[in-house]
Amino acid sequence: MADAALACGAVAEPARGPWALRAVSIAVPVAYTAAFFLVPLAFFVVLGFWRVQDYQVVPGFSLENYRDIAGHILAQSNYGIAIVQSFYVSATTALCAVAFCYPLVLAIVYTVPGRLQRLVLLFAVAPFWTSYILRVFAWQILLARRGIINTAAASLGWDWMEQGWLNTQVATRIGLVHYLAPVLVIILYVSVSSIDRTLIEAARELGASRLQAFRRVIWPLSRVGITVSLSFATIIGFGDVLSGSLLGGGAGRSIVGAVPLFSNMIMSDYASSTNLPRTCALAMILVLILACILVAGLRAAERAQRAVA
Amino acid sequence: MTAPAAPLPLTGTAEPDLVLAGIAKRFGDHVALGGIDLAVARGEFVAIMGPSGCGKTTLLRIIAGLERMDAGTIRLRGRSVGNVPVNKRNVRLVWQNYALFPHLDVKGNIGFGLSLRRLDKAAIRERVAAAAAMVSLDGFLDRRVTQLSGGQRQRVAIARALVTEPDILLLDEPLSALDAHLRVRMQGEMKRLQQRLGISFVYITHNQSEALSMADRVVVMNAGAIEQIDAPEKLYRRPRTRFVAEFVGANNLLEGTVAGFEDGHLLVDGTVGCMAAHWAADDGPPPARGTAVTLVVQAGKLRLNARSPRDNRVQARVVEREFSGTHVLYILRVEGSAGPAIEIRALMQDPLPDSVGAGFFDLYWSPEDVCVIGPGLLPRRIDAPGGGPGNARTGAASIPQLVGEDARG
Repeated sequence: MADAALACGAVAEPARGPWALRAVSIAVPVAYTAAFFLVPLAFFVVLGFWRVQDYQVVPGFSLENYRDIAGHILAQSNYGIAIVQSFYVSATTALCAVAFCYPLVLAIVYTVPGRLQRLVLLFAVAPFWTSYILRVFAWQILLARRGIINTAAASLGWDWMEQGWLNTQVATRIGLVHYLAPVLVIILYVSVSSIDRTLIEAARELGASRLQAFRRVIWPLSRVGITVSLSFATIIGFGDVLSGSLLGGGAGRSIVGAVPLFSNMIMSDYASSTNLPRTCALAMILVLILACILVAGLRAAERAQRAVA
Repeated sequence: MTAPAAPLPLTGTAEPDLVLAGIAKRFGDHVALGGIDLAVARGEFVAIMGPSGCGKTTLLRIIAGLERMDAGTIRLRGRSVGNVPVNKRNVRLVWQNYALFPHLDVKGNIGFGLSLRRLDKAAIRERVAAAAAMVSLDGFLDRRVTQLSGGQRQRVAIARALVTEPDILLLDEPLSALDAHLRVRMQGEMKRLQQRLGISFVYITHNQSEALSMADRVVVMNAGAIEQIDAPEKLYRRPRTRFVAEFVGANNLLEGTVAGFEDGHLLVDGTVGCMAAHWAADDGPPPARGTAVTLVVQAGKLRLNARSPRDNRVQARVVEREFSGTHVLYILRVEGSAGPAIEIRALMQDPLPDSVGAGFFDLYWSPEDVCVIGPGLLPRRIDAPGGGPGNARTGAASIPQLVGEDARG
């Protein structure tokens, strides 16, 4: 009797595949993440604590870089102001990007017939497969003083549209929105298309006009997707360098003045200075800020999710 | 597809709540509705019953305005609403999956329709509270709908529809997601609610007992057309088409040809011999000799003993037996005297005694319990609201006229 029970107990464990297969299938993504993410991250975390003495990099643990940066937060190099500037640019860009992509997604979900939606989505996401820097170069050509937009405006006689588009905040936003759009469209599409259609029919049936159905049903139920998209766009925008420097002239322009973005500062620091550890420390700060934005975004999304479930 | 019907004459009481005439709808190649005529009297409970795909949900959606019909007219309390958009019709739909708004609580859901109009907040609160009390949900107003049970959600859906005081309430299989016990209880509650409010209900279901127990009239649909409209008991006892005989209740269909007519009884020759069927005078003249007919005998009317010498008799043997709590269903084999053996079903309150159930035994049924079906037999009746006998689907699928008298036959 006891033996039978033991035997049953031994057999009761769920059947599993060979452990070697499992180990390999876990090992591959772990190795990939380690090689291309963790190792570089560890590299500049560690380097951030090293010092430079007599033009030589001295390994060891020292908080000198961070103290140096803290000293320059609001004076001299103005790191603090640059961080604020980056926040401002990335937040406003995120709003612009979502404001651009959300109506597009609404149009795809509610006006395009079902079987064509995937195709249209493919077109909307197509820029994702081209190089970001090439797209930025293309915008440079389009927005140049004698670029297509100005030339077209001149021939149409639209003087108001003919201006210096490059090296402006608008140009930075255009480049960034173009960059962000494919991914935001996907995120928002998944969110909006998962809204139960019968809820919209029910709202209409109860007397709602199309606008009321949008405001009272579609919009509240899109909030989770929009929160996630905004966080995502802010994070990417914060760390972005290319649009800001190639299209925007390297400096943001906002209430705090014409101050370079934090990401641009890191890049110029790296290019100009011989103090690699300090650049790494700056980059570390950037990563920490991005992590905070991510956490805040996730918490906000969670809250929004709880409100509709 | 069909010419618009002449308006239904007023029957003396108030105008019917809903009149459908010639409603047709197709989706691509598939004909969902092939010309539906129906009138619902004020305060009537009409159940629409039929197999999946018969078009009942499409019909409901057309009445609500969520779909446009290809042809036909809809009149709600006399007003033609075919072109009125969905959000301007005063009908409410109770959805099969309730369609409650997950981001609102119970009072937000119930008050949704009212909040769309420019109403005073206090008035809305009052009416929501009254509607919640009507469906026994007071105290639940601040709960989130995702925390409610199936039965509670269903009641929120009903309250949400009723609070806007619609002319007519449409219900799309509202009880199908509930367990059997709760369903039976809710049937009674719904019927009482309907009677108390005096609003017409158009209720879709594929559950027979629901339709038969709740409705004033039942509409049986099949493949986009109406087979029969009748009061539940009439429908059960006197099916008029083959489909209805097979769909409603448990019936045996026996084929045969008319052999003669004697003493108010039709004599029919079938594979089990000669059978007698009662033929009432108001069914019209009896069919001619040689006409192919189908005799419908309810499974519950087969008895072990004869009650009169007139009773029909067959010799049967038990093939299968199903116990379902309230009664036992027997599948029996009857040797044909003039053809192959046939299978019939018998519903017995008590199981057959062993002595009988072992071998061949006699089964009897009265000619009064036989219903005769056959093409061209039935006079075309008119769908009059309030209990008149319904449209009969004859061999040719023509649309009956909505005129006061029997037009033909």
